[in-house]
Amino acid sequence: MKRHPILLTIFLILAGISACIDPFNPPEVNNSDRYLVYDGYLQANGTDTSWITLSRTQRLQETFKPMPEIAASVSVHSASGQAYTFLPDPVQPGVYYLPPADFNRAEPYRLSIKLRDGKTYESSEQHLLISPDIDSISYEIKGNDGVQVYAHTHDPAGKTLFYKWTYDETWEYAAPMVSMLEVIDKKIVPREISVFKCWDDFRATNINVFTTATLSKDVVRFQPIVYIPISTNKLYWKYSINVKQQALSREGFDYWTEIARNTETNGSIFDPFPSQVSGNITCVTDPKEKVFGYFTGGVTKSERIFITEALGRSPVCFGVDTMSGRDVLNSTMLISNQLPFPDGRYIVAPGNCLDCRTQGGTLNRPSFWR
Amino acid sequence: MTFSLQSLYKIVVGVLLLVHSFQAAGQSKKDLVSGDFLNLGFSQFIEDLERQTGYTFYYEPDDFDSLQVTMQVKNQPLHTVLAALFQDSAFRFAIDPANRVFITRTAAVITFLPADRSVQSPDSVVAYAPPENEETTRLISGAESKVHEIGTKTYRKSAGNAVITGYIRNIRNGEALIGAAVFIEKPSIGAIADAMGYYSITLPKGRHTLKIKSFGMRETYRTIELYGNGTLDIEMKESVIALREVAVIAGADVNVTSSQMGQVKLSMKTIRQIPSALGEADLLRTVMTVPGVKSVGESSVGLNIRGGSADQNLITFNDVPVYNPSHLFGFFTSFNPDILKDVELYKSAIPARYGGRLSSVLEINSRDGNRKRLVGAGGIGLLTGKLSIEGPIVKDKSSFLISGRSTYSDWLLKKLENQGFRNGSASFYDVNVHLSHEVDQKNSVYLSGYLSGDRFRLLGDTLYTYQNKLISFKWKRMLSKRLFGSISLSHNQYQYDMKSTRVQENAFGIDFGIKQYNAKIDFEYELSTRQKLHFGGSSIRYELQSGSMSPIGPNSLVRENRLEPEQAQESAVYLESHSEISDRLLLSVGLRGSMFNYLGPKSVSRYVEGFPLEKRYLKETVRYNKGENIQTYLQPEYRASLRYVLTGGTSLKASFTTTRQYLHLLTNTMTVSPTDVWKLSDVHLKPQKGSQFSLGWYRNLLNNKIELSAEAYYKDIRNFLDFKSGDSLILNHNIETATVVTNGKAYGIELLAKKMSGKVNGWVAYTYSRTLLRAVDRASADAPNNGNYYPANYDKPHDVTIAANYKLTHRLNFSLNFTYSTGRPYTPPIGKYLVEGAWRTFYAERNQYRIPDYYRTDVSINIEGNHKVRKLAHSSWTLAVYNLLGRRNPSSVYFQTNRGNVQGYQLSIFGKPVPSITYNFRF
Repeated sequence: MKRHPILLTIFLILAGISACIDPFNPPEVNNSDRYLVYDGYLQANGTDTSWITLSRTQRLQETFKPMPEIAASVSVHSASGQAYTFLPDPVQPGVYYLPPADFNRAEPYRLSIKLRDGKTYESSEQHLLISPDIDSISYEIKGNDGVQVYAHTHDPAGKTLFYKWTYDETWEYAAPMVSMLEVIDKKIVPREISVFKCWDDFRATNINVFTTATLSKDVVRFQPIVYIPISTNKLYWKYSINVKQQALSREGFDYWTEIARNTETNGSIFDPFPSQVSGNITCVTDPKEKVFGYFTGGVTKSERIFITEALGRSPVCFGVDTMSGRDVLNSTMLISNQLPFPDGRYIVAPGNCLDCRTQGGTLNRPSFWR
Repeated sequence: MTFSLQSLYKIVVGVLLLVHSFQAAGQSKKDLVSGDFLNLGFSQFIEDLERQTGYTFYYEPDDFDSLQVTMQVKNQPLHTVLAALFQDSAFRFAIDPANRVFITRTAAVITFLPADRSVQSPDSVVAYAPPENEETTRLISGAESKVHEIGTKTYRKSAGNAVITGYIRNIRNGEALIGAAVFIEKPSIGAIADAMGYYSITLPKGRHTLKIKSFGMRETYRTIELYGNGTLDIEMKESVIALREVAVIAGADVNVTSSQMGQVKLSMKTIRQIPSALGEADLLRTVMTVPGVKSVGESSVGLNIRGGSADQNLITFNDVPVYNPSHLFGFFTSFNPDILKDVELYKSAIPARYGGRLSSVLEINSRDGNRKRLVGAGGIGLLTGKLSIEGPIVKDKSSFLISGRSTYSDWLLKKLENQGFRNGSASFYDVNVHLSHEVDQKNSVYLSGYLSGDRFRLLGDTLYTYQNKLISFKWKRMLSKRLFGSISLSHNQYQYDMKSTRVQENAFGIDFGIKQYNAKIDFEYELSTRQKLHFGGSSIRYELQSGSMSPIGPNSLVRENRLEPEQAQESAVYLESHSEISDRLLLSVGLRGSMFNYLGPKSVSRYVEGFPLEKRYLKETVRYNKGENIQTYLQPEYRASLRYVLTGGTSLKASFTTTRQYLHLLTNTMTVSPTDVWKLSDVHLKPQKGSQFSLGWYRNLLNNKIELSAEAYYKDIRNFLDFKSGDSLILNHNIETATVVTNGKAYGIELLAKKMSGKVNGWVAYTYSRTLLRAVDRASADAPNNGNYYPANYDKPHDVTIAANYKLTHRLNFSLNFTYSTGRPYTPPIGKYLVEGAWRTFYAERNQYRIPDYYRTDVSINIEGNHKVRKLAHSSWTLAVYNLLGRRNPSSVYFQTNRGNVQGYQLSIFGKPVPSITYNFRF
C-alpha cells in the first residue's frame, strides 16, 4: 500500500459511505378511539371448529395485550337464511367458537356481530373458498447459508387464482450433554425424565400471498415460504414445517396485499404510500366508524415435511467441572454423570449444557413427530 | 499581459508623475522632451518628437494607425518617454548612436554589437521579456487597441445613424456567443447577439467605444470610427481564471433590468462549484440550490418547482424533452457536465414559445464543439469515468463533440448497510454526439444525439433497465437582418423494463415506452430597436406503449397482458412580443394556442354518467379506428410579464402565466421512480391546468456586486392526479378508476441575496412555499383527508440554502453548501391491532404529520493544476465531503411490526459524511 497512496485514500473513502436505519418515534397522536377488530376464519371442512377473536385497537405505544370484546353475540348467516351462532369460549375472553357444522358451499355467508352496547356490525357476503391441495413442499439448500422452503400447487379448474400461505415450524434439538443424574430431596438420584431432547416451535405471522391471475394456468411453482438460516441451528437435528394454504377472493387478496404493504415495508424510497385498509366489515349503527378485520371462510389445506440435513454446528458447552457429592448438593450446577470409580466425583455443568428446556423448547414430543 | 490603449494612457501619465528624472547613457540636452499631448495621433506625436530632439524615427505607420497618445511631459529624456509609452505593449524601441530611433514589434533592433559582455546595452533596460505570448491575447488586444473603421471612409462625417452587424464568437472554439451584449454607454444603446451570435446595432456615426459582454467571457471593447453601414465580427476570450465573473445570471444587471421573472441561468462554473455527493459536478443538484426549487428526498432528482409536481417540468436537452434525466435512482443527473454550456430555468414567467408543462422549463444546452482545434476533457470519480473529445471537422466551419460517461463499479450498493441493496447491482452510461456546421454566414445546421441508460437490481431478483434516447436536427437561418428563423425536427423516447426470471414458470418482463416526434419552427423578428417579436409553431406526435407484461422463456406460464398503446398529437402556435415602452417599463406579452388530439386506434371505456369513475359503473367500450379523433382539447394560454424600473438599481416585476399539460405521471410512491407510468390526457383524464401570478422586487447594490430579490407567487392547479389507495398503477386497464382528481393551490415567497464577485461569492436563499391539494369530488369515499385540503407529498414550507465560494488563490477554491428544509409530510400510523398473531397498524389522514427537518452541509475543495497555457493537459482535483456533519437526515420513515411491537424506522441514505475525490483533466 505504501507505494500507492492514492489507492489507499480511495479505499478509505469507499469505506465511508453508507445508508443508515435508525429508530423513529412517531409523534404522540391523540387518538383515543378504540375500534373493533375481528380476527378469524370460518372453517367449512365439516371437521374443524371455527375460532374468532373480537378485540379493540390500541395506541402504538401501549404494550398490553389487546382488550377483548366480551359478551358479544356473533353469528354467520347464509344468503338463504341459515344461521350459525358462535359460543363464547369459557377460558379465553373475547374468543368465540363454532363447532364443526355443514355449510352449503354454493351459498355466500355474512358475519353479524352485536355488542353489549347495542352496536351492530356486518360483513359483506363472502363465498366459501376451497383451496386446492398442496402439490408438494420442497426445499433447497443454499450453500452454507440456509435452506429455502417452497410450496407448489395448482388448481386444475383454474378458479382459485389467489392464494395465501402461513406456516408453523417445529424443530427438535438436544442439549450439548446428557444429564443422567439429578438432585431430589438433597439426594443424588438417577434422572427419570430425560432433559436431553426438546422441541421448539414458531408460528409465522408474515403475510405471504400470490396470484396466478396474470398466468395462463392456475399453477404456483416455487412459492417461497420461509428461509431458514443455518446459523439458527434449527436444521441440525430434525426440522419440520407445516404449510397451510388458503384460497382468497380478489378482494381478500387486495386486502392482504395492502396490509402487508402497510406493515411489512422495508423502507425503500420507492415504497408506496400507506393506505387506509380496514376490511369488509362495517358498523351498521354508525357507518363512519372504523372496523378492522376481514371476514372469510372456506377450506384450507396443509402439508407437512421433515428436513433432516444435519446442517449447523454441534452445540458446545463451557463451564464443565467436577465436584464432590457434597459440593454438588450446594451448587446450582446440574449433574451429567459420576466418574466411573468408587466415590468418584461428579461431572457437572451449567443448566444450559444439560437441560434443553433452558433454550426455550419443551420436552413434549409433538404428536406428529416421527 | 494585454496591451490596451486605456491602460497605456494611465500608465504613461502615472509613470511620468512619479519619475522625475532618469539618467541614461548618451543623454544630451537635446534629448529632453516637453509637451502636453492630448489624443494626439501617433504620427503627429512622432513629428513633434523629431522636431524637439532632431532624432529620426523609423516605424511602420500601419501598426500605429489606431494609437493615440495622451501624456504630459516636462523636460524628460526621450528614452524615458518612449519607455513609458511602450511599456506593457508589444512594441520595442532602440536608439542608435546616429540618433536614429527604431520602433519595432516584439524585439528591439540591436543597434550595436556588445564590445564586452559586462557592458549592458542601455536599451536592455526597456527590453522587457515579451508578454506571455499567447496568440489569442495578442489577437484580441490588437483588436482592442486598434480603431476599426466601419463604412466607407469619408473626410467629412455625414450626420445620421449607421448599422453595424457581425458575429460574436468564442475565440477558442469559434462557438457563437448567444446573448452577448454589444453596447455603447453614451448614449445608452445596446443590442444582443441572437442564436447564431449575430448582432445588429444602430449607432450615430462617429467614434465610439463599443463594449461587448458575454456570460463567462472576458469583457472586451472595440474602438470604432463609424462612417456608414458595415460589419464587425468580434471574437471574445473566455474568462479562464476570472475573479469577477462567477455570475449565476447572465449579465450583471439582468436581475434588475430584464423583464423576465423567475429566470435563472446557471453556468457550468457555478455547477462545478456546488459540492455534490460522490464528487461529480451535478446539474440538477445545483438547480436545487435555487430558491423555489425543491426535491422530495435526497436521492431524488424529481424537481418540485414552485409547488409543482415532478412531472410538471419541461426538461429539455438541446430543445428536446427528456423524460428521465437521472441516473441511479436520482443520485446523478444523466448529462455529462463536461459537454454542457448552460442551464436556464424559467419558473414564473414562461415565454409563450414553451408549453406542455405546468410548472417550469429547464433548458439544458450542450456546447458546440471546438471549431479551432482538437481538445478533450475527462474525469475519474469514485463511481464513474467520463471522456469528451471535440474538434473541427472543417476548421472554423464545422465541429464535432462526442462524450461518454459510464460507471465502472458497483461499490456504492455494496456499501449500503441494507442487506438487500448489498446484493444488488447498478450501472449506467450516457453518450452524446453533437455536430455543428456553419453553412455560410446566414445558415447553420446542428445534429445532436443523446443516449442514456441504467440497469439495476435491488431487493430480490428483478432487473430494472431504463433508457432515454434523443436525436435532433436544427437549422438556423438569418432571413434578413431583422428576421431570424430556425426549424428543428427531433425524436425522443423513454422506455423501461423490468425482468424477473427467478422461477421459470413465473418469469416475466414488463415494458413501458413513450415516444415523441417533434417538429418546431420559430422566428424572431426585430420590429424596432425597442420591440422584438417571437412567433412560431410546433407539433408533437406522442406514441405511448402504456405497458405490457409478457412471458420470458419457454416454460413461463405468464400470460401476455398488454395495455393498448395510446397516441396523440399536441400542436401549438405562439406569438410573443417584447417591447420597451419607456426606459423604465418593459412589457412582454404572449399568447399560445395549444391543441391536443387524442387519437385512435383505441377502445375507450364509457361509464354511467353522473356516477363516479369506478369499474362497477362501466357501461360500454367504444372502439375508435386508427387516426380517428377521440377527444380534442383546444385552449389558449396567456403569458405576460412586465418590469418597471424604480431607480437605477431597483425594479419591480410582475407576471401572469397560464399553462396546460396533456401528460400525467402516475406515481403513488414517495419519490418519482423510474418505473412510474406516463399517461396522456384522454376522455376521462382532463389536461392539467395551471395559472400563476407572481410579483417581484429586485435591487442591485454596490455596482451590481450584490443582488437582492424577493418574489411572491400564487398558483392555481387543476386536474392534478392523486391515487386511490390500493389500486395498482402498472398494467391497469382502467387507470381512470384508480385516480383521484384534485385541484390544488400553491403559494410562496422566495428571497435571495447574492454576491457575484470578489474572493468570497455565493448566495443565500430562503423559500417559503406551500402546496395543498383537495379532491374535486369531495364527497367521495376515496377523497383523501375527508375531502379537505391536504399537503402534497412534496410540501416543505421552509427552505434555506447557502452556497458560498472562497477563492483562496487562482488554483485553490473552497465551496460550501448548506441546506435546511422542513421535513416532508407523511402519514403516520396512529394505532395497532392484532390479527392472525401479528400486530397491524392503521394510519392517520393523509400527510398530516412531518418527518424531522433536513439539514445538510457539504464542502469541497477544488485544486487546479498550474495555469501554464501550453502544457499537455490541464487537470484539477476535487475533494468533497457531502454531509460534512454526518447528520442522519431521514429520507423516509416507515413502520414495521416486530415481535408484537410496531417500531418506526427512519432511513437516511447518506447518514454519514461522504468524502469523495475526483480527478478531471482537459487536453
